[in-house]
Amino acid sequence: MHRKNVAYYGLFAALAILMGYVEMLIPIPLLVPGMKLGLANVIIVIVLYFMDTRAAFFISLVRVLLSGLLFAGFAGLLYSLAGALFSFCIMVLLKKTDKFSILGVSVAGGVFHNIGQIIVAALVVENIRLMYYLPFLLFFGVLTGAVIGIVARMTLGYLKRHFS
Amino acid sequence: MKKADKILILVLLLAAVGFALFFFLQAEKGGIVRVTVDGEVKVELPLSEDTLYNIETKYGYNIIQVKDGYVSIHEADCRDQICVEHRKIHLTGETIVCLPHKLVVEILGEKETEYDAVVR
Repeated sequence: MHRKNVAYYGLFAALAILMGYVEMLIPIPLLVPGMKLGLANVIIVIVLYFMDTRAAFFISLVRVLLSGLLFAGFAGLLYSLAGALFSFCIMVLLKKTDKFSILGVSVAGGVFHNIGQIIVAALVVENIRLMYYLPFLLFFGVLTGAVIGIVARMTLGYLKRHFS
Repeated sequence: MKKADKILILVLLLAAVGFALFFFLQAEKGGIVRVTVDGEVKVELPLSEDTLYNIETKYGYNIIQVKDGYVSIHEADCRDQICVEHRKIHLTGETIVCLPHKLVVEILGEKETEYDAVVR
């Protein structure tokens, strides 16, 4: 691995964990279990475009494992992991088609993060009725995904001008 | 923003509205509240009677409150307290979930209980 890449991996992983922490400090009314702002996804989307798929995958994994152990405890880890992996796969797929901009990729990431989490939650409590929350999760996923996409695009422009 | 982005966002929003309508059209004032833990029915309470019901499992306790036809979780010793902060519910299909305790509170109509009783 190139030396510069090592630094980038560490930097972005730290930022992603930090974003997860910042999100915990923001008191949003929890209407729905599994609802999240998904601030950490800003970093994952940026890495996906600034570096590559592999880097984004590892940073996403490291973030989920570390912030799970640091803040959420082991039980919460399962939900985060399901959400993160599901959303990551969808984002990579959409990006590969080359038909979507960073905005669409981010929106899909936000929505499928929520869907992944609620599927695991429904499995854990063994109750399909959790799908009642699906419309809310879809709606908020689109909203937060769009905001995150815009932020990621702005940041990316700056990064590419100064660090490439 | 590309064309595919717009289509994606539109489809997702339409799906949200579609699901919401689907649940909304089905919803009516519920008859009973069912509490399940690990997918296993623990208790069924009528919405017409005001009660406080304590459910204790190996995960911890949740106190279910039925008041004026609405159900909420009055108190629980779970770590996130999401279930306690959840708004009170009263329409069929609505749920309150306590993930740490694997507990689901759901509202059912009158008919569903009869049907379930036959199935069991």
